[in-house]
Amino acid sequence: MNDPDVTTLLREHLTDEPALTRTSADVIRTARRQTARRGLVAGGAAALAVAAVVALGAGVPTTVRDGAAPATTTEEPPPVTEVMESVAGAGFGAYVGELGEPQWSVNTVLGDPVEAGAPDAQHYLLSYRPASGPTQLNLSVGGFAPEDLATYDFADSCRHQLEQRLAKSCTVRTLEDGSLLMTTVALRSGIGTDAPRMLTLEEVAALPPGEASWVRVVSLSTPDGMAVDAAEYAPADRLTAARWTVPLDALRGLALDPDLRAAEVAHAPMPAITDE
Amino acid sequence: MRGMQRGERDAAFSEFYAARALALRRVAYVVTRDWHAAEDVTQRAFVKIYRAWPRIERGGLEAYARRAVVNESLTHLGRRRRDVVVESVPDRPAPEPVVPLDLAAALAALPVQQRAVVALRFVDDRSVAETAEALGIAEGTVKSHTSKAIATLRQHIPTLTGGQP
Repeated sequence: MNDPDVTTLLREHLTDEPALTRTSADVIRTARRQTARRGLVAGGAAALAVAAVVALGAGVPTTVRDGAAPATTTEEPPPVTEVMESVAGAGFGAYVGELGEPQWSVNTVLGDPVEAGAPDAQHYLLSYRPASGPTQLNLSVGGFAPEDLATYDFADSCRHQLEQRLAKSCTVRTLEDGSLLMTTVALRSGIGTDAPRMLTLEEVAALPPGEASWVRVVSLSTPDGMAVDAAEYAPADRLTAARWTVPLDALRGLALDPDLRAAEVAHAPMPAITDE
Repeated sequence: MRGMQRGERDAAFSEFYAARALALRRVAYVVTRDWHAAEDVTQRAFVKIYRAWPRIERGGLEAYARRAVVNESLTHLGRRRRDVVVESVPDRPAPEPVVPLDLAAALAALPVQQRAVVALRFVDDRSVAETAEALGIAEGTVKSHTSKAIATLRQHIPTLTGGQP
């Protein structure tokens, strides 16, 4: 038998490779989400000079009301940022206390930064990093076009995350009005960067301490094209369970808040791809 | 490509993924020495490829993908603070005594950039020029890394005949 050369030896070594676990559909789904949300979670995003929060009676988070219709009014609606800060202040503040400075990221459908209130402002992300307790609190409101509903296929997303062990738990519930409410508990790294990464428990165990966080997020997707997320990030100092500060019902209340669902945001579809 | 609709883009990307993902994951594996990490970095590279798809010239797609996977692999290792990737990697002192090792252990004895060269040259069958392009280094450096890598592998795997540097 001839002595093997490098190529032969390497190929023999690679014969027991595992099958690919991710399909091109998985990759495309991830890429689209990143495109749609690019910049939404960018840490250090310039905080917008938001006017002082107006005391909005309607901004107080409601209790969970499946199928609640968005609030309607004939008056000029308040800016989305004001509504979100008011809702977040009441919903998070009740459990966390001092929230700290709000961090805003407002983006178009392509993830390009844009001023709040601009006609093409489609995704609003409000983040707080309280001095104590949670690592980060997020409240986001976004619009999507009905034809892009597949991008927000919560049921498929849940299944995928559980199959890949990228979520500790994930449930989806259909509400009376056809909205989908997804609740996920998972581990992530890169919080506060533009590339947060979903992790398995094994991956977290291999990371240096402090690089991963637990996240519990409640996400609402409505048939009329609104997406509302409320999330708490907690230190992953224990891999068995997180120490949550904000009760799950409070996150649900935020995600289902009728004023957030009624927010005026753009609903541009993901554009056709061009060689721009 | 101008005006390409999403369906066409997805179909073309899926075809490319089916053709190249497995092979590029092998490259990533040789660099990272971890199948799980290789899968992860390959996916991250392909996500970037998909996002950049309209801007990538079709003739340069292969090279773009190779470079993306290798960069993600090196970034992965960099995050783990194991190695620093530089144009010229200083030789590591040969382990003493040199004992026969299996290939996985022998690969682990190589500096990371030599592993990347080995992966591209001998797993993905790339030329010196293509390997140099993927790694962003000079062709002479590729040849030098190849020679040193083969010498090290031969130390640990005495039956190895070698390869074209």
